Amino acid sequence: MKIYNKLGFAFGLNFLLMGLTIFIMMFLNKISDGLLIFMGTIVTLIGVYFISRAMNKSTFEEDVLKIKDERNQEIKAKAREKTLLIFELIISISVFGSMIYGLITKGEFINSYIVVVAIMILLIELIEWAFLSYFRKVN
Amino acid sequence: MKNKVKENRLSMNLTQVELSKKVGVTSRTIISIESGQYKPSIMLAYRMALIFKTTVEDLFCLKENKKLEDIENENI
Repeated sequence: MKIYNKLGFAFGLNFLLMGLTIFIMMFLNKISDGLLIFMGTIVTLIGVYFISRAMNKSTFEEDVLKIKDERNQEIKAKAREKTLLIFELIISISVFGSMIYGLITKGEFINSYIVVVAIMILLIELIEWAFLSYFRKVN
Repeated sequence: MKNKVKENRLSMNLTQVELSKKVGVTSRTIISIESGQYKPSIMLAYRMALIFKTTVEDLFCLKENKKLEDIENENI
């Protein structure tokens, strides 16, 4: 048995262990919850799926081709850009909403939420600016 | 973007999957290029031109596409 995709194997193993942990915890604590069984099964199956793909040469080559494919890379970049844009919009709306809510209720939780989200926005902007500067230099 | 990929591929009796394997992309990319939805990189265009024993300029109708692009830009 040879592992072709080490990263994929580690990813799969992580899921498999998480799935098995759910079952072990259920067994040790004598819990029989339908939702946990469902979640455990799904997570275990995802793990098995990724491990089997990582150990199969043809699927590994297929995965490498999909990753290297220039159209896929372009689509991924576009999708990430749009996701970030929507994410920033959602955060901005939520901050604006919570500011109004905070003004009305004067709640401490809302104030701390605004600070955390504001730091997040600042970090996103800083990281984006850093990457933009880097790629402008490189390209 | 208009191109002659499909007619060149068919003239060489190649399937989209076979061509995709030769140039190292997925068959979905070949489908997108043939339909004119996706503009390939210079290297991919060159790889295809080498396989079809033609030039990038001819394979991707660059003169014709440039004219169309110029007209579009004038209309903006």
